[in-house]
Amino acid sequence: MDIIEPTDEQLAISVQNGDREAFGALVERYEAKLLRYGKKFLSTHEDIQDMVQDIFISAYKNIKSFDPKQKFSPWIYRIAHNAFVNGLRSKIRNPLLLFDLDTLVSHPIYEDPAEKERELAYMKKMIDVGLEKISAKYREALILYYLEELSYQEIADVLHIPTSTVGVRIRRGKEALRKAYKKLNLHYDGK
Amino acid sequence: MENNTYKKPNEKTSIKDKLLSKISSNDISMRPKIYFTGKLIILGILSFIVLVISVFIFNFILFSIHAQATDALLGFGPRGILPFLAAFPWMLLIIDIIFIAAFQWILRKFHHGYRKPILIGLIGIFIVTIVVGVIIDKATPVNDFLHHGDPRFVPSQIHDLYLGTDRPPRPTGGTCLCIITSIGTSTITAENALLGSTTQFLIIIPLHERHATTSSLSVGDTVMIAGDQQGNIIRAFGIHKIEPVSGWIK
Repeated sequence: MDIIEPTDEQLAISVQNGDREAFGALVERYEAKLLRYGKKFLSTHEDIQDMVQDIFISAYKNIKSFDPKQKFSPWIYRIAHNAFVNGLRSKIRNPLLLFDLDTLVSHPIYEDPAEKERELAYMKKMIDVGLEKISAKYREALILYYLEELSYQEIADVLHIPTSTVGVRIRRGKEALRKAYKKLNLHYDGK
Repeated sequence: MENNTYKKPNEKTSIKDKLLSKISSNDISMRPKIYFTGKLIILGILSFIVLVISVFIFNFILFSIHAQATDALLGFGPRGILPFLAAFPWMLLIIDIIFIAAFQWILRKFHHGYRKPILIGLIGIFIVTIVVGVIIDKATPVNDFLHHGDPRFVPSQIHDLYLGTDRPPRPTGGTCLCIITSIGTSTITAENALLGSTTQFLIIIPLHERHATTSSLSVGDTVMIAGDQQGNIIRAFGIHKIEPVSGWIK
């Protein structure tokens, strides 16, 4: 008999009801993802394991603030984002501006799933090399979109910015990545 | 929940083991639901207070420009705009904008509050503040109550704020809230309506000034005068009779 995998949200409800094993299952599902997110975003391998552990501790402490009607992944990525931004702050001054002009106005940019599908394979490859050369706010948007495969809406929920700003960051991130490739004298496959 | 079974993990990660052992030993525990509900309620109350203050300030701006007859300057045509802007309580407006920005910042703490661009949010809140402020000023007795109501029921700071509007603005740059002391054919004399002031002005009324006439004026009237000032002589381009507020009467 097939075992039906519960969704993240179902697991989160179980954790809220006191099921520790359900939390273990969520840790298994998200550990590798958060480690990858942290390593790519912070461009360093030190402390990431500890930071991810702290993220899970924070997630467990605050699990009752999770609304099961929403998706679980943006919720835990939000906790991770805060932890990694704090990690960046301790290393670099003002890594992400408190106030971003891009969040001021609306931008006529919409998510195109077909375009994402076309780009996904080579963008993953591109991101693997030039990512640390570009600014943190664009780097993070590219990681969440192409590596973690979140939608614009989910990224907006992680970063607490308007959805159109997510599109702007991804577009500018790709431009910055292209320039980084040019500087490194590497061939850029992306558009 | 019938589908809520899941595979028991076969391979345990070190992070998972550490976390589960910390949970088992009660080193980490969940915050209760009431903690988050309480935070949400406090945030809701805070945002409501900030919104009420910003609406109140805007309402007071409207009240004060009307009470001090600053709005009469807008009836003097294009030349009345500059004196109006000079007399406008900009500091209050800046404080109001700070409260609106604070409200917008608090709203972004709520789920989905960040989804709209900041500028759209600010404009939206500003419009709401203006509309509610105008409604309170024009269609409710709130200002009258805060101005003339029983001081026992009005906080003293607010009462003092409203009493401050009884004091006409000091005459500046050709504008004056004055009381007419005599009327000639093309001149009037007037004195500053400010209590205790003895400043006398000679108001020259040019022949073809549409907004500056002596018709319907009589001695003792309180008027808002705007014009080009040289010393105590004002060459008026606008005179508007206003209903004096009791506190102005000398």
